[in-house]
Amino acid sequence: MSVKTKLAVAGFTSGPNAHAHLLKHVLRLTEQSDPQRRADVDPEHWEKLIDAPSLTPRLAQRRQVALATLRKVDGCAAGQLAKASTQRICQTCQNREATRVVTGEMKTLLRAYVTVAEHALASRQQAPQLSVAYRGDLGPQLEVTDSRKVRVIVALDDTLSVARVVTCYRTTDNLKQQTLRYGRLRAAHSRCGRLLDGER
Amino acid sequence: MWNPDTDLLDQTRAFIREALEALAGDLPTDARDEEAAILLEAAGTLVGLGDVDELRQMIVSAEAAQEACRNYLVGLDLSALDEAGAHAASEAPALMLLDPEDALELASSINEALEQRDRVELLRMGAEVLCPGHEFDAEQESAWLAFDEIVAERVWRLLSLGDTRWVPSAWMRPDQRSRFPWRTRGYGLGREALDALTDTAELLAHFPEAREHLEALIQTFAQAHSAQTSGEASGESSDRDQRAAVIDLSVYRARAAQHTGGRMRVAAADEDSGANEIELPGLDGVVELGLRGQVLVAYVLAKDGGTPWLEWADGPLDGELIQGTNATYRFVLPDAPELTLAIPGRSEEWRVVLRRATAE
Repeated sequence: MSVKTKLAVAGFTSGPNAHAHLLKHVLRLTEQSDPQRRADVDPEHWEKLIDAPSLTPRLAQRRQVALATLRKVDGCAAGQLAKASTQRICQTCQNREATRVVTGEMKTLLRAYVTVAEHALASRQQAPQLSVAYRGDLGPQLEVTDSRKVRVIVALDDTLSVARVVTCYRTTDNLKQQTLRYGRLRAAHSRCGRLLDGER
Repeated sequence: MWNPDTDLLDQTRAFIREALEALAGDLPTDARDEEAAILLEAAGTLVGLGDVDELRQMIVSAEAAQEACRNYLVGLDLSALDEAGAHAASEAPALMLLDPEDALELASSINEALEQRDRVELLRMGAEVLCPGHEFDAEQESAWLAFDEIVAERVWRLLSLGDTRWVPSAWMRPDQRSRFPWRTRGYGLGREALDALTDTAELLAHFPEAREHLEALIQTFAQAHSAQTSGEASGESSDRDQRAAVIDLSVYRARAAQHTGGRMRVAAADEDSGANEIELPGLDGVVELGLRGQVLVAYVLAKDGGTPWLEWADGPLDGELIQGTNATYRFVLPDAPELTLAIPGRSEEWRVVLRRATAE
């Protein structure tokens, strides 16, 4: 069975996971290393990937705006942060109501984030050498990097037509390094019989 | 006969040629570093594929490229490795508690940490050929050693990553894989092995007398591992290992055995036990099969019996006699829906068909 050419993207694998990656990569609030916490320029330059809502390239300001929104949500642990943190906060969030409210408050930004992931997934038709699809212990997955160096990993359903985003971020590797990486992965999954048909 | 993946080999060679060509000319520093990074990683990949000699030939008279690689390595910042190692080591236990669906995100982030270390090892492998004699500075070396130290003690917990951990190393020749122990220790073991550990502890709490059997099993697998690593070190078993895929114990069962003439057919082996004793009419002896990860351990003690072998679509596959035994063979299984274990006798041959249970 082959991965469908046009995938339906059903958001992230979960609300907390969507928030985790938004806060880590786009808003740069959580899971930031020490040098990242001190930086005021987004190394992934999400301000160039998302048009609406517009994102300021200055991280201090971007974080302030995000924290102001999160602080209004009862039970949101990320809203209690005073500044960028090394912690993984959203992944362990059990507060469904807070998750629901945060999703509502950030729905435009989350939608734009998923659109970036969709765009990257669609690019695999033009650049199949920058993708790999395989069936692993954790189910079928697809990894793609687009020409803007956005890397997205999605979990696929059993029909290989519906994708749920596991992670989406911009890598610092250049496209040749990416091509080599995917080449190694395809060879490895192929050798183990895990490469999904039609991905070679 | 193991062969490297041709697509990967072609791509790697092409990138090396392109980088060598680019570095022979004038480039701004950033572009030069970028080409050097690709050259080193591609060179490491070629070494991983087992083509060191070819790489040496490609870089004859490539002094400018080698100099660019040395300069790139001097400025290489590996400070993030420490944190990556800490993340992989500290989060792996949490992964054990999650269902596969919930584990996806965490597994992905731990795998990214391992990939950072993979990349450094590939650069080192490339540097050993491209920049012989180059010494990484103490800070760089301590960065990867810190990762290795943090992760080494907890590699077993990374089994919770399942095949996400070890499959990415399967493109490499087995004799190169030992440089990636965070990926390849316990190669082929899956998430369920950790669950089995809990089950084993519970079993031993109820039946302390079973410990002796456990010790015997541990010894068997330790011998199998020893045979594998010694074979890999000498390059003997590389062909078999590279052709192998992991097949879980639970998905393979000895289904039936039949005489070469097709006249005799016996009942399937016990499907509930890990070790399947096979009854083969006419064979004066004992055949017992155990499957563990990708490894089939076959105990074949038969009067007038010869050395058993496996057959699959690509032809015969020899086993290895496990050191210290006289009748226990180890086969690394290729990924195939059906395999046949052939046991030669003086004038006839017995065959045990192993069929992937999930293919039913």
